[in-house]
Amino acid sequence: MEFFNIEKLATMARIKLNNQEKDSLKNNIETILNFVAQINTLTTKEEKKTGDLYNITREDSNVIKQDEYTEKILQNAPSVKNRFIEVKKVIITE
Amino acid sequence: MEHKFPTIDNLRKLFISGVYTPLDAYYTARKIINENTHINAYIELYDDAEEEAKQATELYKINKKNTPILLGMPFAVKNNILIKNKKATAGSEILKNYKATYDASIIKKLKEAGAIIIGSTNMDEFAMGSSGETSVFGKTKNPLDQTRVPGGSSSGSAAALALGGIVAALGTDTGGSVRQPASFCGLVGVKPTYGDASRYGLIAMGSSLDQPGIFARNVSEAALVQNLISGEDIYDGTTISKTTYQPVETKDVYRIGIPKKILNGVDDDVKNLFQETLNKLSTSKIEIVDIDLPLFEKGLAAYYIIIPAEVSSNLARYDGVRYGLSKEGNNLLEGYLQTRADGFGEEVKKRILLGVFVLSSGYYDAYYGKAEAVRNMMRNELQETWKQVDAIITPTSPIPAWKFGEKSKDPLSMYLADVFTVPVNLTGVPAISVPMGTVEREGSHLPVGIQVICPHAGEERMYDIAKRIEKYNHEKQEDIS
Repeated sequence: MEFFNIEKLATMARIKLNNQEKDSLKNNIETILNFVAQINTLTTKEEKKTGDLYNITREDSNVIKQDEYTEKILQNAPSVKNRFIEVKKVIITE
Repeated sequence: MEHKFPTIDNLRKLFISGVYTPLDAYYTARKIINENTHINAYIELYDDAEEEAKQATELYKINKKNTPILLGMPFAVKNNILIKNKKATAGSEILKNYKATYDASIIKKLKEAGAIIIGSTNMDEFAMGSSGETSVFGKTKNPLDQTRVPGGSSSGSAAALALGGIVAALGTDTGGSVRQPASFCGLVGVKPTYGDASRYGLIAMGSSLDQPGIFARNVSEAALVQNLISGEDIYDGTTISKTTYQPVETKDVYRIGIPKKILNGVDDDVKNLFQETLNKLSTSKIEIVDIDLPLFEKGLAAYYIIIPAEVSSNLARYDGVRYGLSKEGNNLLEGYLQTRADGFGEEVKKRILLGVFVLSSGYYDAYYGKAEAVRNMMRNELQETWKQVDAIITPTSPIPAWKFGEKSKDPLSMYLADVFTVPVNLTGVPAISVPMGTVEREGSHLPVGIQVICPHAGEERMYDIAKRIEKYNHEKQEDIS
């Protein structure tokens, strides 16, 4: 029973899948979804979906010295230009 | 299980006296590792640990007892915990060459206590797995039976400690990833109360479930290490303080609940060992009662909705832009698609896709929303249960260590083995796995663990009960010999 579109999921997940992967993952995911669907047999109070959560904030003050991590971070970056990480164009105008 | 290395207490005495030095310990550790490379417990060994060991040796000569408590003692750390300037790979292709730019808070604490980290340990990719089979660096073998899995995802930490030469190891536990490998390798494994130890510097998998965990050779060493890494942290807003939860006292006599119904699916030998342990415990100031935990079993279904959801969110950052594997495409989107296609293994892709599905429009409420509601109900069920009993005990795993490949075909069978461990992460309570003996399989004696679960912030009680189990186990072993 297919109620999900593996290609749509792959696009949303930003992962390119080959045909073999699409098939095997589709089957696996279906099996798992059939298993987890059993939670629908439980009656729950819909209003409280999350536990006792509350926000924790801190002062917006600078706790890091300038340049403390810059070089190390840039060393991990695939493409660097001066003190910037270089990325591909985000907006493509054709 | 015989351990080839002195206890922390004994090692400290030896170090102070100078009879055996941190440098000696370092060489011993490296020798054991060199003789066991086929176990594949480590991803990277730190050669600069030798210099640290030399410095520790000098410090003991000068300061003797006035030295940090773990000074010079070898530790191993799972490779999803950041150690400054060392590679943090999470067992994945996508982070194979990523170098941590800072120490995780728990690593800072470990270093302050003087411990020497001798290497990073192998793990299932991004901590997803219960067998150690999904690491891009190859599988880790169980030192007690090399045809079998050591458990996972902290497979390398468990194997490293089981081999000897180190005093303890750190891992992470999101659904059982410390307790289960501890059980399979004959070790003590602890998952602290959620929020007890800081997650700052841990490569996140499921942020509402992750907790640093401890592997140790005995209960008191586990408690010692947990005490050291534990503590409120300004860098992790989910850490708790001493007053977050009501105090959980230790008692002279404990009332312990066993969810009998859930034992149905447990392997016969494991069940017998479990019952035997309970029988012995019930003669020594421990009252065993049957309890009903109908939601406990549903934990697996809720977990395998929630964890993929959180994973899909936490792993979105691996896009080849700021760090990690980076594959070029014709444009930005293609770069993402190819980087993640090449960088993630099968299990990781599976969980991300599952997560994307359960969070998607039209399905969110039925799956993720429902699973979180179930989770909340599980918390309430536990709260009610603590009114009747002081702790809950189960086997850590329904089965002993399985053979490599045995559980790779069916996507569910490995998940089903997590039945006793995941409810603990879902509800955030602390739990410990203590060895309870061995079961025989084809001539191998495979260790099996027993799990003690306590209320939130109930570690003191948890360790107290665990010590009694440990005492019984030692007595049993002495009876045999």
